[in-house]
Amino acid sequence: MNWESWGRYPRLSQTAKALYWQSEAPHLLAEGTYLPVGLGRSYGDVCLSDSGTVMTTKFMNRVIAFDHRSGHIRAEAGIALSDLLKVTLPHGWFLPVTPGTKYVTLGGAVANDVHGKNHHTAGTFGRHVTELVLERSDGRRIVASATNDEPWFRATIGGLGLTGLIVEVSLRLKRVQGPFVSQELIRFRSLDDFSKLTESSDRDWEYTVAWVDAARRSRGLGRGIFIRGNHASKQGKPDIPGPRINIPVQGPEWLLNPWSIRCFNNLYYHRPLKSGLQHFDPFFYPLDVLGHWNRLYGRRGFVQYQCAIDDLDLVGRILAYCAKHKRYSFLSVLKKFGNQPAAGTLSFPMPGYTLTLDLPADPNTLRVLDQLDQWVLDAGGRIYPAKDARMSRDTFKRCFPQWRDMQPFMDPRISSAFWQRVSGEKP
Amino acid sequence: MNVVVFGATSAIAQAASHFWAARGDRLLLVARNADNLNAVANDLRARYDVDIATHQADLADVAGVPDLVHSVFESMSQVDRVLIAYGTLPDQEACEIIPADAWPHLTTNFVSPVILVGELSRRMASHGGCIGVITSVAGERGRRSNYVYGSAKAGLMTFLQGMRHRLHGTKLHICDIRPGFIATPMTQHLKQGLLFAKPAKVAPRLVQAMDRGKSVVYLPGFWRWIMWVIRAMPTYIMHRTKL
Ligand SMILES: Cc1cc2nc3c(=O)[nH]c(=O)nc-3n(C[C@H](O)[C@H](O)[C@H](O)COP(=O)(O)OP(=O)(O)OC[C@H]3O[C@@H](n4cnc5c(N)ncnc54)[C@H](O)[C@@H]3O)c2cc1C
Ligand SMILES: NC(=O)c1ccc[n+]([C@@H]2O[C@H](COP(=O)([O-])OP(=O)(O)OC[C@H]3O[C@@H](n4cnc5c(N)ncnc54)[C@H](OP(=O)(O)O)[C@@H]3O)[C@@H](O)[C@H]2O)c1
Repeated sequence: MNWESWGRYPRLSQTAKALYWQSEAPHLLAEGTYLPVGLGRSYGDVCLSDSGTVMTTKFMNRVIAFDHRSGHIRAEAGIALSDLLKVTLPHGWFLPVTPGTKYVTLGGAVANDVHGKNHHTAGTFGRHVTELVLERSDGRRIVASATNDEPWFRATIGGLGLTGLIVEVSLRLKRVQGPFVSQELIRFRSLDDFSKLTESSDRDWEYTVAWVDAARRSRGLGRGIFIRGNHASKQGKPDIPGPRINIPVQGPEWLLNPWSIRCFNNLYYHRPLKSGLQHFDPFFYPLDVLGHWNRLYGRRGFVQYQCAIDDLDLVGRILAYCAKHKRYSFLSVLKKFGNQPAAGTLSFPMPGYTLTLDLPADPNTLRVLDQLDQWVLDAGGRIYPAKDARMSRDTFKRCFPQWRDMQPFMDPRISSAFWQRVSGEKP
Repeated sequence: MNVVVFGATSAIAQAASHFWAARGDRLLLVARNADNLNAVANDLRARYDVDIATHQADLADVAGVPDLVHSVFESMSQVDRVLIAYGTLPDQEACEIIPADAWPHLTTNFVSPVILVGELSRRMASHGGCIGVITSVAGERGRRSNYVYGSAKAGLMTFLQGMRHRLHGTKLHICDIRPGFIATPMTQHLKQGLLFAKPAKVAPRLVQAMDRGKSVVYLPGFWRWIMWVIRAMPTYIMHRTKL
C-alpha cells in the first residue's frame, strides 16, 4: 500500500499496513514504531511515519450501536464521516462538528480535535465525544471519558495519535430537520467589513466562514465572500454523493502558477452569488466533488498554513506579505473562533481569528512561512499541526507550551514524522 | 429472502451482506472468529435495522459440517441464498519447501466446501434457490505463483460444474463466483496495482449473478477476457512469464 499525506509533502518512505479488526493487535503487526492513521486527510506529517509503519484504520469502520432516539452513536474509529452520515442523516441526526471534507475518519477527527464552521457555537469535535476506547501497544485497553480516566481523554483528543490506537469513539449527534441549509453569501471588500459581518452574524447563524481573495497586492486586499448558514426545516432525500470528478494523475507543476491562481481568485470573487436553500453536501464539503484535487499541485506537493491569531491587522499583514512575495494562496479561508474551552491538551483552536492558506511546496514558500511564524508567535498565536509540515521545533514548543503535559500519556511504540520533527525525540 | 453466509467475516462476504441487508433480506452469518462475527452483525443491524442471526463455526472442521448445516436449517426453515466465502491463501513458496503445509489449505479451500455444498444441496433441492461459491480465477490455469491455492479452487470448480450438471432442470442453482484481484486482508501483502477492485464495487455483481442463477460470474467482469487470454496462452510463452 502507498501512503502519503494530503499535501503530498514531505515524501517519506514507510511501510503501510491496514487494520481490519479490533481483535488485531497493531503492536504485533508492526516491527518497531508505528502510527495509527485514518484517511490521510492531514496536509502534513502528523499522518506520516519516518521509516516506520503507518496502520490505516479505514477498514475498521463498523457501527457498534446507534440509538435513533437519543442520537448517540458508537462506532469503530476508522469509519469515515461520509459513511457515518449515511447511517445517521436518514434518522435526522447530523455531525455536531464537521471539517471541510467528509472523507476523514472518526479517529482522525478526534486525534486532531477538528473544528468546523460552527466553532463559535459548538467548539471542537472533541467536545461532543462522550467516550473513547484506546488500545496501547502493551495490549492494555483504556476506556476514557470526561468522568472516567479523564486525563487520558484530554490527552487523546487532539493527541495526534500519539497516546495509542483509538479503537472506538462514542459521539453525541446533532438533531436536524432535513438535509438542507439556508445560506447567505455576502461579498465584502475589506477585512474591516469581514469583521463587521462576523460580529453581526455569529449570534444568529450557526455556521459562518469567509473565503478570502489572497491574490490581491494592495487594492482589494482582504476582500472576499462571507458565508453563513443555518440548518433548514425543508425535508428531502439525504443523499450523500461521491466525488463527481476524479483527478486521476498528478497535474503538471505549471498548472497552478501565480497567474492562474490570481485569475481563479478574481473570477471566484466576482462570481454571481446565490443565497437560499442549499443541500448540506455542497455547503459543508464544496471540495469533495473533486476527488484527489491535491494532485493538481503536481510533484512538488503543497503546504497548508493555518494559524490562529487574535489580531485582524496581522491577518492583513500576512496577506500583504504573501502577495509581495508572489505566494498567492489558491484557496484561503478566514473564520472567527469562539470562546469554548479546548477539549484536548493539544487542541489548536483558541479565541481569535484563524486564517488558512494553500501554497505550493517550494523554497520560496517555506521562507515566507518562516517569517509568518515569527509574527504569529509574537502575537501569541498558534499553528495547526494537522496542516503543518514545516514549523520548527522552537515554534511548536512556543505555540503549545503544554506539550510536556503529553509526556506521561505517550505510547512508547508510537511516533509520527511530525512528532520526531517538533519534539526532537527519536524513538 | 433468507440468506446464509459461510465465512461471513470475509471482506467480500461483508460487502455482499451489506447489499442483502440494505434490501431487507434476513441474514444468518457463520464465521469462526466470534468477536469479528459480532462486529459484522452489529454493524449490519445498526445500519439497516434488520434481523441478523450469527453462528460461530470453524469450517476447517470437516467432520462438523453436516451438524452445522443441520443447525442452520433448524434456525432458518427456508433458505433462498447461500454464499460460501471462506478461504485461505497458502504461502506458495513455503508449500514448495514443506509440501505438507498445503494440507490445511486444501481442506479449507476444497474438502470443506465440497461437503458443505453437498449437504446444502440435499436440503435446498426441493425448494430451490441459489448456492454461490467463491472460487478464483487462479483455478483456471496452474501458474507458478499460486498453483497450490489454484489447484484447490480448480477442484472445487470442477465439483460445482458437475453439481450444476446434476441439478440441471431443478430450481436449485449453483453459481461459481470467480474473483480476480480484490483488495481484502487476503491480498494485503501484494502490491496493489490497477487490477485491484474494492469489495463494495464487486458485491452488486455477485448478488445479481446469484439472483439470476448465473453459472459462472467473474468479479469484476473484465476478468473473463483476461482469463480467456491466459488460458489460450501457449505453454512455451507461459513458461517464460512469472505469472
Ligand atoms: C479538504 C480538506 C478540508 C479540511 N477542513 C478542515 C477543517 O475545516 N477543520 C479542521 O479542523 N480540519 C480540516 N481538515 C483537516 C482534517 O480534518 C484533519 O487532518 C483530520 O484529522 C483528517 O482525518 P483522517 O481520518 O484523514 O486522519 P489522518 O490524516 O490519517 O490522521 C490524522 C491524525 O489522527 C491520528 N489518527 C487517525 N486515526 C487514528 C486512530 N484510530 N487512533 C489514533 N490516532 C489516529 C493520526 O495519527 C494523525 O495524527 C481538512 C482537510 C482537507 C483535506
Ligand atoms: N481477495 C482476492 O483477490 C480473491 C481472489 C480470488 C478469490 N478470493 C476468494 O474470495 C474468498 C473471500 O476472501 P476475501 O478476499 O474476502 O479475504 P478475507 O477477507 O481474508 O476472507 C477470508 C475469510 O475466510 C475465513 N476463513 C478462513 N478459514 C476459515 C475456517 N477454517 N473457518 C471459517 N472461516 C474461515 C476467514 O476468517 P478468519 O477471519 O477467522 O480467518 C476470513 O473471514 C476466499 O474464498 C478467497 O479464496 C479472493
